[in-house]
Amino acid sequence: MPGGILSFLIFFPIISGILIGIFSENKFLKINVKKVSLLITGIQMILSILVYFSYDKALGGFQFIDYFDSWIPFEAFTARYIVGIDGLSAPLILLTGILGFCSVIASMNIQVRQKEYFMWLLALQGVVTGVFASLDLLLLFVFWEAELIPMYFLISIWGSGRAHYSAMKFLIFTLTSGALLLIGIVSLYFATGTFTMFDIAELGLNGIVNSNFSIAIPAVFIFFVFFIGFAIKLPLFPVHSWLPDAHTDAPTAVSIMLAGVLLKMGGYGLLRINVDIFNYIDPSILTGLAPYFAIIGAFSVIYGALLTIQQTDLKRLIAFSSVSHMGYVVLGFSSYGAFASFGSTEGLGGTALQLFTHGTITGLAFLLVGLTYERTHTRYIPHLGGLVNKMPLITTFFVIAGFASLGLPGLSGFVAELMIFIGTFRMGSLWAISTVVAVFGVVLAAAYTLWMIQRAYFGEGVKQDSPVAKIFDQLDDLNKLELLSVLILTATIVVVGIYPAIITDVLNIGIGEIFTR
Amino acid sequence: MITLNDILLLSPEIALVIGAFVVIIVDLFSSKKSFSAIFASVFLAISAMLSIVLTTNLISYNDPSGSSIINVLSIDKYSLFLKSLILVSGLSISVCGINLLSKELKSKGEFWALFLISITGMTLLTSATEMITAWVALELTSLPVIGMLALNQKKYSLEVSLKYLILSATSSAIILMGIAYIYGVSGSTFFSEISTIDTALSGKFFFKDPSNILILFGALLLISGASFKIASFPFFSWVPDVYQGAPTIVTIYLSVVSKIAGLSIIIRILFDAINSSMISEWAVYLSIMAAVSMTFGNIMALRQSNIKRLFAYSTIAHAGYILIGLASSEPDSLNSSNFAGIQSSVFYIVAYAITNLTAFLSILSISREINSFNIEKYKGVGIKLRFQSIILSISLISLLGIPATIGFMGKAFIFSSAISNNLMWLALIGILNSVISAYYYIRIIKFMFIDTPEDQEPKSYSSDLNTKIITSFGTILILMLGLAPSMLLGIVESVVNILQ
Repeated sequence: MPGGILSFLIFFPIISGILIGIFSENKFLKINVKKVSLLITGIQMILSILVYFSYDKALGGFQFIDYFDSWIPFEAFTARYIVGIDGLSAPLILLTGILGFCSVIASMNIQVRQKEYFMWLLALQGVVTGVFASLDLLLLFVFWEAELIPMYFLISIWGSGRAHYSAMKFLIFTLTSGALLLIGIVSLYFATGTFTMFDIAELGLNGIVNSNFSIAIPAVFIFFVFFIGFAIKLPLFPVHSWLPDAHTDAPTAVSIMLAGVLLKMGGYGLLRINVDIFNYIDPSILTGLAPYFAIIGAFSVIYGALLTIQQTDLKRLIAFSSVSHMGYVVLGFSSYGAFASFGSTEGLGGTALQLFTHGTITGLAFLLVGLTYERTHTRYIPHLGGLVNKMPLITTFFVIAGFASLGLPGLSGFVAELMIFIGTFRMGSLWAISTVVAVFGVVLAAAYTLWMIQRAYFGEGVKQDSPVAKIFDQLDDLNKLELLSVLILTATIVVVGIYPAIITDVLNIGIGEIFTR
Repeated sequence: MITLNDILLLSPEIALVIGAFVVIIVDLFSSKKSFSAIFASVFLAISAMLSIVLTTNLISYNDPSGSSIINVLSIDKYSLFLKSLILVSGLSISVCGINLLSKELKSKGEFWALFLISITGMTLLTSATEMITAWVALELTSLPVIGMLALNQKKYSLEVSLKYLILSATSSAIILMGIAYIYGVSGSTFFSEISTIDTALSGKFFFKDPSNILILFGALLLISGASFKIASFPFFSWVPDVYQGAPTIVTIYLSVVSKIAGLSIIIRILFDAINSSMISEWAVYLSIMAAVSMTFGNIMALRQSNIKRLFAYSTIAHAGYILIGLASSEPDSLNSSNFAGIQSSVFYIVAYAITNLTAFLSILSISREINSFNIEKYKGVGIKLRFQSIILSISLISLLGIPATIGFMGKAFIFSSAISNNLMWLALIGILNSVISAYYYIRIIKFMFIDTPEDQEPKSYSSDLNTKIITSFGTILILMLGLAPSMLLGIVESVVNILQ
C-alpha cells in the first residue's frame, strides 16, 4: 500500500464532510449528496479492507506509519502526529470501514437537512478511524473528544423521542470520560516524558514503553483514571446509563456507528493503555486487580441481560444487550495474568475479537431494527407480530443476527465468547466463579433474543388495535441497496464464525506483542 | 530625564491620548453619528501598529531586559506583547462599535474618548514596574469605565455605574493597603528593590521573622484587589449585574481587555516584585482563588437565561482557569525545561481573548438583529443569521475546550502545568468544571441550530459586515492555532522568559 494511506483514511471523510458543508448550496450536491456519500464511504471501505489484508503478518509490529514530528515541538511539551496500525487496531480499522458504508446505506431515508447530516456522518467516520490509528496519546485524545460534536448534532437533530436530552446526556458522560483520559495522559507524560505510545525503532522514537516510571503520582491512580474513562465509554455498570438513551433516540445509522464503533473505543483503550502500556509500567497493578475486574465484568453481563429481558422497545432492547456484551470485554480483560502463568492469551484475544464481532452483530441488528421501524413506524414490541409474512428477508437476517448474538457455533459471536470463557476460567477460583456466572449471560441472551424475535417477527400477527394493523398490507421487504449492506454484515459474521483465523491471526500478533515488545 | 528614545517607546500611549482629545473635538463639530467611533478606531490602529513594530524591533534586537523609563515603566517583550494584544482587542471592539453602538448610546464622542483613555491606562499597566505607577494606571483604567457605564441611557445604567464605582474604590483601597504593607517592610515601591528584600528574607523561617509574613500579606491584598479587574474570587460579585446592565460594547471591553490588563499586572507583581522563592506560600492562595472562581462561575452559569449574564459567569470561570496556571508556577519549573505554569497562563490569556472576543462580538451582532439577549430568543438563529451563528458556535466550542480549537490547547497546557506541579486536585476540579460548562455552552448551540423558531415572520436579517470580517479572522485564528499551537507557544515562551 502507498504511504500516507492511514492519514488518507482519517482525513478523506473529514475533508469531504467539510466540503459538503461549505458547498451546501451547490445544485449537484443538493440532488446527489447521498450518492456522493455512498461513493466516499465505499472508497473508504474498500481501502480499509485492502489495508487490513496487506498488513504483513510475518513482519508484525506497527505498519503503515505516517509521521509528522513538529506538531507541538517543544522540549517541555512534545506531541507528534503519528499514526500506524498493529494487530490490535487493524481489525478495528476494518470494522470502521465496513460499518461506515453500511451506516450511509441506512441513512437513505433521511429527509431533513440532508447535507448537514452527511457532513457530520462522514466527519464522524474519519475521527473514529483516527482514534484507532493514533500512536500518540495527545493525538488520540484529540480524536477522542472531536467525535463528540458530530455525535451531538446527529442525535439531537435527526433523533427521535427525547433526542435533546439523550444527546446532552451522551455529551456530558463522554466529556467526563475525556476529562479523566486527559488527566491520565498528562500524568503519563510527566512520568515518562513522552506522548508517543511505543518505541518505533525505524523512526528513532522513544515511547513510553522504554521509560523509567518515576513521579509523585502513584501509578495505580493513573491506571484507575484511564480505567474509569474507558469504562464510561464501554459502558460498564454503573456508568452505563447514557447508552440506552442515546441508542434509543439516535437515528439508525448513528446507532450502528455508536454500537458498532464508538463503544469499541472504550474496549480498545482498555487493551491499548490499561493492558499494553501498563504492562510495562507496573504489571502488578493489573494482576492484583484482575479478580475484581472479573467480578464487575460478570455482574455487568448478568445485570445488562436482566435489564434487556424487560425491554419492550426493539431498539432499547438491543441497546441494553450491548451493556451485557461489553461485560464480556471486561471479563476477558481480567485474564491478563494468563501469559505469565500459562504463556497463552486466549482471554485477551477473545476480548479483542469480541470487539470486532459485537460491532458487526449489533451493527446488523440495529440496521434491521431501523429498517423495520421505517416500515412499521413503531418499535413497541406488543404492537408488532407476524412480520415474517411481509418481510421474510428482514426476519431471516434478524434471526441470523440473533443467533450470532447469543453465541451459536458457526457464527462469530460464539468464537469470541468461547475464547473469553476459556481464557478466564483457568485463572483461579474467583475467575472461575465469575466465568460460570457470566456463562448464564448466554442463556439469558438466548431468552431475550429469541423471545423478542418470536414476539416481533413471528407469532400470531398484529393485534387489531395496533397501529401497524392498518398498514400491514403495504409492508415491503428489503430493496437492493439495503440487501447489500445487510449481506456485507452477515457475510462478515458467517465468515469469521466459520474461519475465525481471518481475524484472530492478526489479533494474536497484536496481543502477543504486548508481552514481547 | 525623558529622552527622545523614551518618547518613541511610549508612542502607543501617546497616540491614544492624542486620539482621545481628537475624538472629543471632532464630536463637537461633526453631525455624523459614527464619526467618533471611526476616529477612535483609527487612533487605536495607529497605536496597535506602533506597539507591534516596537515588539518586532525588540525581538530582533534580542534585548532581554527591554528599556526602562525613569525606572517606573519597563518596555520589554512581555509588556509589548500584552500591549499589542490589548490594543488589537480594543481595535476589534471599536471597529465593530462603528455600526453597532448607534442604538444604545446618545453621546458617542465622550464614550470613545473615555474608551481610549481607559485603554491607555491598561497599556501603561502592562509595563508598570513600580507600585504607585501601577496603582495610578489601574485607576486610569477603571475611572473612565464608570463614565462609560453611566452614558448608557437606560434604566439600569446609574445603578450599574454606582455598583462599579463602589467596588472599584474598595478594591483600590485594598491595593493601596497592600502597597503600604510592602513599602513598610521593604522601604521601596520599585519592583526590583522589593525583590532583593524578598531574597534576603526568603531563607528565614516563617514565624521567626514577621517581615516575611507582612510582605506575603501585602502581596495577598494586592492580588485580592487586582482580582476585581480580572473578575475572579474574591471580588466578583459585581460582574453579573454590571455585565448585564452595561452597553454590550462595554461588557465586551470589561470581559476581554480589562482582564488581560489585570492579569498582566498580577503576573508582573508575582514574578518581578514578590520573589519566586515565596511562590509556595502564595500558590496556595491562588489555587483557592482559582477553585472558587471556576466552581462558582460554572455552577451559576448553568441556569441563566440572559446570554450576557451567562457570559459574565463564564468569564469568572475562565479567570479561574488562568489562575490555575499561575498557581502552578513552582520555582524549579521556571528554571528547568519543565512546562511552566506561567507560560500556559499567558497562552490561555491569548486563547481566551481571541475566543471570547469572537463569541461576544457575534452575540452583539446577533442580539442586535433579533432584539433580545434572552437565550430562548436564539431559537432558529442558525437559519436566520447562518454565518454569524456558525462563528459563534465555533467560539463556544473553543470556550468549552473541544479539540481542534485554541481553547482546547489552552486548557491542555493549563491542566498539564497543574499536574506537573503536583496540583492534581486543582487539575481535577478544573477539568470537571469544564465538563459542567459543556451544558450551558452547548445549550446555546442547541437553541441556534436544533430548535425551530417559534415565530415564522418573513423578516430578512443581515448581520453587521465589520463584525463578520473581524469574527472571521478570530475564527481562523481559533482553528489555526488550535491545530498548530506551536507558533503562538514559541512567542509566549520567549515573552515569559523576561520575567525570570
